[in-house]
Amino acid sequence: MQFARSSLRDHHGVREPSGFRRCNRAGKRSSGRAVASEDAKLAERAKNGDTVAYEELVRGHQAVAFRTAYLIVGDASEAEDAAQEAFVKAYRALGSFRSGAPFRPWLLAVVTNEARNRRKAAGRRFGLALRAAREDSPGEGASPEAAAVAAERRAELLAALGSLREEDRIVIGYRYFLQLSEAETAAALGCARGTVKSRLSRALARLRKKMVEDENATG
Amino acid sequence: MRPDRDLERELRELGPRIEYPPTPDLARAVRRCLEEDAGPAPRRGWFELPVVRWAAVAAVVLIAALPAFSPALRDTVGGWLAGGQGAGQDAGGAGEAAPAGQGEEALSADGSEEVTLIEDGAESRAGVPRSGGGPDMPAFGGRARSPGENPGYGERIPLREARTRLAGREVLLPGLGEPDEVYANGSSRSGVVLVYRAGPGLPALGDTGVGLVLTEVPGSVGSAYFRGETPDVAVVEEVGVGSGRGYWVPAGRRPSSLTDRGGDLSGNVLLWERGGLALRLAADRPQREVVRIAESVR
Repeated sequence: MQFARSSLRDHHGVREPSGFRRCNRAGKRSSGRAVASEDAKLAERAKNGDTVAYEELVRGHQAVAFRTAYLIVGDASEAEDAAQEAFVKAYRALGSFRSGAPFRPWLLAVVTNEARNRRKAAGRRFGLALRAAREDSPGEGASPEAAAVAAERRAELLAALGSLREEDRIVIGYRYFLQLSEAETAAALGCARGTVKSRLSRALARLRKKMVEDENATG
Repeated sequence: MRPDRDLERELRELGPRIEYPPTPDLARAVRRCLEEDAGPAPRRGWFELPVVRWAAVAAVVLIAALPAFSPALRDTVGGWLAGGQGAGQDAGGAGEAAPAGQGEEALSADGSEEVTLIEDGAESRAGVPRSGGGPDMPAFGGRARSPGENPGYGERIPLREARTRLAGREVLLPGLGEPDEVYANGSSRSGVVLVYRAGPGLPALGDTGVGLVLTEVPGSVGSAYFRGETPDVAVVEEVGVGSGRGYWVPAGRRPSSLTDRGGDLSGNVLLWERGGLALRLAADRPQREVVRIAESVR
């Protein structure tokens, strides 16, 4: 299944697929601080039972939540269920959310747990569903041959990544694909920043080893 | 072999090229779900409620002003605020944490259907109102709790409804008997919290007036109570619960990955699994005793 290439970004920098309705607030926000401030206000209103405020909060984070779940479960429908259930659970648990704290890392911790639970419950091994766009963006100036080589390299990288164990895939996916900060990754995984660093280092080493093995195998 | 920094650069460049499925409109679906669900509004932190904050301030002012009044009045009001155990204090100082090993439990003759807590000659069994346990008596921290007041574990529900919050699974009860109160937090899989009031042999957890809290959530211990799913065995201690495995988290040694699901209480915590449920028992009792209570859960 081929998905439309992304072209838009929501206010957290997560790209929305082209053709998908753009977040109303996306164009109004330029700084992370403003986003955090508005998130804090919405979270406070949601704590008091304002489901409209929570709906707006969800809209601002649904893309990153869905993609986080997708990286774990590898299935669009399952990821949608996981993300939706995570938002509902997060709403129920807003009482334990510290006022003024960043909402996204806290939410992603809930999403991560929900997605992992669903994947475990389904008893399925992660199926590599990630694809990279084959074409380079217009204006990148690569020759057709170079673009083809680059596309092949990306496919090999994703294939090698798909063969790693879950912990490795998740930490790499969070840091490089979702572009979460170390602190956000640590919060989402429920570990210290130092642990993220060491896990990422080990994951990269295993990925590199796998790439070399694959290269040697194909001659 | 490529150095890691090249690999990192490749991954960074790959990130924006990943093609994800279109993001569904979760916002509307979540709102609809929340509005259809008859569950409560988000549970606020107990101390976040303005009325609680003002009540706490008023209590502090009152205590500070007591010496200005008569000793009799001071003793009376002080008694309300300090104990909440009423007759329990007369029966042996319940409400204060007993030293480890002081309390003993006795299993019934048929094995483990009942757990009786014995302390300094006073005896009680959960399910039977303990000292200070009447509906109009002070409980939960010694405050004069009005009937129906919620201690903050979610929505109070009858025990018979607990099954519906456990994805159809039967609620499990310890040998202590039926809980004094049952709470749930909304969705059908969010689990239930069984609350046993403090009493003789069951000292209060912090200043809550609660003696024992048993939380039951469908799923595994890791998924239910730990961020990152896997219990941090470097911090928690693995213990045997019956023929299975449990995790002991002593008071004051909470790993950061342990969530406060089921209440962030100050006592010792035991986590284990039984019948498809992840169980969390919090009590200010020594490990051996808590494990025995856990093993009585059926």
